[in-house]
Amino acid sequence: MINLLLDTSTATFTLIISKEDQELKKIELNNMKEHSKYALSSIKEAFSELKLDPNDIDNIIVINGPGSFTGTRIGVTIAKTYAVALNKKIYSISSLKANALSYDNSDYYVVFIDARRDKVFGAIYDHNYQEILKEQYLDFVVLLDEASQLNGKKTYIGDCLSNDISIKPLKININVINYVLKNYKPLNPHLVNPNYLKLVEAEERKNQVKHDSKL
Amino acid sequence: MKDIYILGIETSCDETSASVVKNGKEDLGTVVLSQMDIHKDYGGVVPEIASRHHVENITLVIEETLLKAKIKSENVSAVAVTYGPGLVGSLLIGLQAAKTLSLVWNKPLIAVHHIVGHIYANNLETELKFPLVALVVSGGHTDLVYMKDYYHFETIGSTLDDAVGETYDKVAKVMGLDYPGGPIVDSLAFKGEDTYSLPIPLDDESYNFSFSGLKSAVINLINKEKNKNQKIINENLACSFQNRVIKILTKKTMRLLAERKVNNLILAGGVSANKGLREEFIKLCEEKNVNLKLPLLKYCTDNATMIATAGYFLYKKNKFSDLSLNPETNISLERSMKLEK
Repeated sequence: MINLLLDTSTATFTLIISKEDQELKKIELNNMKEHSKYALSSIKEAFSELKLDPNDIDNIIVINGPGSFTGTRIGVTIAKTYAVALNKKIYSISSLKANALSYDNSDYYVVFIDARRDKVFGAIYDHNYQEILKEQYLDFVVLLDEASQLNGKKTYIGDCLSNDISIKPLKININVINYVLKNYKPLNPHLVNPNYLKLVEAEERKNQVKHDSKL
Repeated sequence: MKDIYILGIETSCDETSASVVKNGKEDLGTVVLSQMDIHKDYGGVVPEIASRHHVENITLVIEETLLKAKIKSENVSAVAVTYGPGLVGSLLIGLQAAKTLSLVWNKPLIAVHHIVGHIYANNLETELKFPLVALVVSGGHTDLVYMKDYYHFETIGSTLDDAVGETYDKVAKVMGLDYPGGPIVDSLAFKGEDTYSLPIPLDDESYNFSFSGLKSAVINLINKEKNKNQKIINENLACSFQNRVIKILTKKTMRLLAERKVNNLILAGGVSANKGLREEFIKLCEEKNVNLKLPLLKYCTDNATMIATAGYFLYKKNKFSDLSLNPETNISLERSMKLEK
């Protein structure tokens, strides 16, 4: 079984191709503002280096956010179009969980992605990578406060800064592919969509107006 | 000669569309999924909402199109996609889908300028005749374009401020009409009379247009009548407004045809569905013996049929793009021509 993983949900573009549980190729591009320009060229480059045909891929794993709205849509669109076009199996996984899975040897994984204005997309996972604080859009300080109440070894993973804790960078490795194939079921590709965790501001304003007029 | 089948994809604004066109003129199957009803609630297109709907619908639209066109992927000759102008977040979805199909099906990728698509919508029934003048009128464009041959564009005049479709929607809004208001103003105009005094906008020697002054004049008029406690007769206001718009569009277009001694005129873009505009051009072109081509109503608004049609002519010229193709949100016709060379 040959697997393709794509992550465009943050400023780092990650592509991993694996066979069974062995990594064949990994491309990681940091500080990317143009996932659109490089994503498909990178896939093509990896295929030609490994002498793979697009049809040789059996499973597509896409990280479907939360994170950058535009970025996430790029990876999701590529993955679902690929799956529909060649009738391939597709899986999606949360960016927060995928980053937790890429670290080990910890009692808790506190994962967060910058959502600006002191907010983050965050979640906390236990040693079995089970969610103990549901992924959500929240204040960074609130997430850190939740984490501080847990006893045990904690690994903080994210792209925000804090003076009080040591933070490991966001990264995605082959553990994500192996975990997904073992624990998840393939999805209907048409229904694979970004998980934004946040409404569009215009929708929030509209809901607010509805709410206010009910009061 | 081998038949050429182009799969077109269009997501530049709030329509998710795909289409298969044979030999640049035969529409084998088209799907257009409009988000108009969603954006209605906001009084205009919200870009982030549009992008979210594109990603949800894009694969369904493509799959449905291939079924409708009864074509298998191996028989598709190339994938053509709108790369600009348009909303960046929206363009990105169609682009990723098209680039992915190009890679996994191993088919050439063709980048199509959105306005070129609108112009080529006129090639679907009968082939274009050159030289021609194209009047491109839509929510984002008001351009007079001279074409001496296939894929040769010279923009002679453009709007200096609002596009004509945008002006219709804004005027409709101040008149208290629904979004998008253009078609409503058009139908109201036929029920009213030209009773209100409004200026003909930028009635000068240039081939440029300007509509913000006319829009302001309508707003001022409504406020003035309100202050006098006079009720606005929407039918008459629609008629007066539409007459000024049609007057200036037809006047400058007909003058350009005469000046360049051109005998072929085409209309393109969403506003070319405007009944008042169509009727006036039909009348004037008959008088002046000009061959007029109007797009079928279903090809006036954004659709992928026109993108696949325009893509065919680039296919014939071997103008292909690579997978690094990115959106160009403001690209001009002239610049797109250079890029394609």
